[in-house]
Amino acid sequence: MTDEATVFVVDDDPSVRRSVVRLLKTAGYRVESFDSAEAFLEGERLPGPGCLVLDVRMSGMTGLQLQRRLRVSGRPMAVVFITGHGDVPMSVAAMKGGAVDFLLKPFDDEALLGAIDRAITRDRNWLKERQELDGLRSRYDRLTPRQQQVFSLVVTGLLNKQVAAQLGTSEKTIKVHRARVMATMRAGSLADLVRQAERLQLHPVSNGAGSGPPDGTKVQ
Amino acid sequence: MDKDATATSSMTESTMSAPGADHDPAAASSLAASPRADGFRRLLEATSIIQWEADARTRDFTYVGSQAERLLGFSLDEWYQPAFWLTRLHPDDRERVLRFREEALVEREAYELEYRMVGAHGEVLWLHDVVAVERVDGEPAIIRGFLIDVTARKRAEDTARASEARLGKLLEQAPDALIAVRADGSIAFVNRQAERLFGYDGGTLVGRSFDELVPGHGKLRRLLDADRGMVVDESVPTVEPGQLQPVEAIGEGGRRFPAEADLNPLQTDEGLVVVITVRDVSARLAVDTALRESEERFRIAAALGADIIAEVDIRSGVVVWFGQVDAALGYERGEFPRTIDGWAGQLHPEDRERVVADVQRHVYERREGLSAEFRIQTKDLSYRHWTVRAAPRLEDARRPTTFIAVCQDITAETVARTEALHHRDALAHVARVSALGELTGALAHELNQPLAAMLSNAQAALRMLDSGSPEPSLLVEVLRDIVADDRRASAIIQRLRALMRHDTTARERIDLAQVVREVREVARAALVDRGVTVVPDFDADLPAIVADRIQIQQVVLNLINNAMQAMEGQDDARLVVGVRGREDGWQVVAVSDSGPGIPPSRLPSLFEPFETSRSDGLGMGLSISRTIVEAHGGEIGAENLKGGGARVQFTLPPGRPAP
Repeated sequence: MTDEATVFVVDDDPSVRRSVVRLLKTAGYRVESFDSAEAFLEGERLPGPGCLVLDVRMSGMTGLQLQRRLRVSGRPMAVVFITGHGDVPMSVAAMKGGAVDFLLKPFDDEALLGAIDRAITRDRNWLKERQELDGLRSRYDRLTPRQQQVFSLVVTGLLNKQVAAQLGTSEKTIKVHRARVMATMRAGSLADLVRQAERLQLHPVSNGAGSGPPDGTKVQ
Repeated sequence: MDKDATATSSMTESTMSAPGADHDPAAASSLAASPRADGFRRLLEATSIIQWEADARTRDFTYVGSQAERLLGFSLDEWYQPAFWLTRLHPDDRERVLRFREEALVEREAYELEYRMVGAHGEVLWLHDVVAVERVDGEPAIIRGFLIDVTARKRAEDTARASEARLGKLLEQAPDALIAVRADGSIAFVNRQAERLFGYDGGTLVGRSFDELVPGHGKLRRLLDADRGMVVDESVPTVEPGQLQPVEAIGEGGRRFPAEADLNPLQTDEGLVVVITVRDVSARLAVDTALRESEERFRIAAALGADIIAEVDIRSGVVVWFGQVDAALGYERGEFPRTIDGWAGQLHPEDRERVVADVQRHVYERREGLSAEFRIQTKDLSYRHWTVRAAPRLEDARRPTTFIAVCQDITAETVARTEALHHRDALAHVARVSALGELTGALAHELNQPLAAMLSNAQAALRMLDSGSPEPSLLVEVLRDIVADDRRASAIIQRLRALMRHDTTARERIDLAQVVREVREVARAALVDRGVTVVPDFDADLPAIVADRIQIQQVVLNLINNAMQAMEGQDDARLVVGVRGREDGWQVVAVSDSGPGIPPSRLPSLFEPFETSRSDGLGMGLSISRTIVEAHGGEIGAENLKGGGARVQFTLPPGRPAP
């Protein structure tokens, strides 16, 4: 996976699109441009970090609609909105939807490039987090059901003896499970384990039932 | 027959009785100019004595008195035909008359003769012809004279006495009551009409004094006195012959009645004879009284009502105002001018020429009614708006000289109307401005596009230069884009200004086809960008029309934009743009696309405000287009084409000729 960022420019005005692409290329970015939101969604996107420079008012799908579509797609992307005529409700909707910036045309190159840098940084961070989370999940998935049970009870602050009582087994057995969990999850301390549980959004379970899947979208 | 053809100079002199006219070639014109002669002429016209003028050689008439039509039953046109006289001359008289004429023309200044002529229905009339000869270079050129129908006398020749009887017979034929009075004041002759008027039996009046019939007739007295060489009282104004004077007449049994009398002195070979025409006017006076009463009522009604009524005599220019014209314009009673010229002088300078020209054309030249609107000055130098409707008085229908004019003060209505017009303009402006408010977003968006592109391009160029090794061809490309976007921005601003402009006078004579071609050029880049094929469809040599260039361009650009959007993403997008002339002079601008067409459900409301198929459109474009087209007097419409696609077209009326 390459680390080079791509800026995706989506604007239905040909001359704006052309000028923005030219500016970004001059500033050293890798740029892809599309004349509509639909074209962007259909098109092949380069992997790696990236951000979207998105016109709000376009014929067909608008910029705000595209932002919403991306947010629920599993690959949200940092968006810098550009618009010829923005009003307050529009900008509020854009920022609430996670936009990095909302720029009024005509915009200064520094403003655009600054926003793009921030957007790319955010996207890199998101990707890094996403990578870490992916690793954590794969390790968690490698735990046995018993070990997962022990994991979720230990991180609630219960002592081995209490965990053993809850699971109806001996304290010694719990001690062994706990050591396996620590090793598999590459946790150096209980505190590490607790942070991992938070990121995996594990919920304490009672009565030996398994925890919910750690995808963060499902609430028990 | 010799005695009928007697030519005597004394006879001629007595017949051509106007003083100094005896042998004067200009006798006819001096006759006409003399008041006495005018009376004589009237007398002639009252009887069947016909004036004429003819070519001396051919005796083709160059003038014949209008009574001639009655005489022989031929129209005046026929009288003027060549050889008319000769043809209608009785065959039995022809040889004699022509011989006499030949001699007389050579020898005499004037002559008389009698002969027969044949009428239209074969009837034979005896005519007495009095002829004066006018010579040019000693040769007879023009002959003038009188034709008198003496058929009656001829028939009664045995019993009729010489000249008095002849005159009597002439008088007998007159429609009015005629009385001939001798120099001593005695009645020489009365016609039947006169006997009937005064109620006397036939012949009983002759020899009695005219004073018994019309007592104390001053003018007759003076005429008779003057004839007897008596001193005339110069202080009493001389009444011209031919003017009817009111008199009191006394009939049989002392019955008095109002009458009018007209005196016409005639010098005959028996001395002065005054022929007096008398008319009973009692019936007419009764009518006059009724008319005066109704005029009085009219005057009162006019004074009470808002209308101001005037009676205008266009010969004298006198205006009689029946309404309170003075009060209406702030003057003292009787202060406002009482003449047409005076009235015209009070008109607003901007209206005067037009209204006076109208009056001249309709009233003076065509003698027809008129209606006009004008401003008229009040005493305090402000102006009132008036209308006037004038119509000729019915009683002088053929060539009226009296007009009745009804004036109305419409100042209040005019002010209200002007305000309403002003409000309408203001409203249109407000509507435009508020439509602008709606449009501000769209326009700002549109304007910010090229501005954004220009800024980004310029800053990209700066970065290229900063990098130290800029590629010249890239820089040229950037600058070209900046120029194009700058043009696009100013075009948008022009459209904005056209929308905001608050006047309706931006219309000029334009070449519509050229204007549409310009728009196509403006849109060319966008069309190329979208891969649209443009097919021009222009009629050649269309005449100029009058329209607002910028507004029409706005409409056309709007239609092209709509068409482009309709064909968005289409492979074989095809746009037909053109102007065609219709037979009635209107021109049709049409924009057709090859898109999917307009959904039938949208067709009826396509041109309504806020009607749009675009989620981010305001739907004002076609609405504004319709407003503009209709303001130009045209129509706009849309239809789906059979082969697919839609056509929007609008019409514009033919241009008026250049002022």
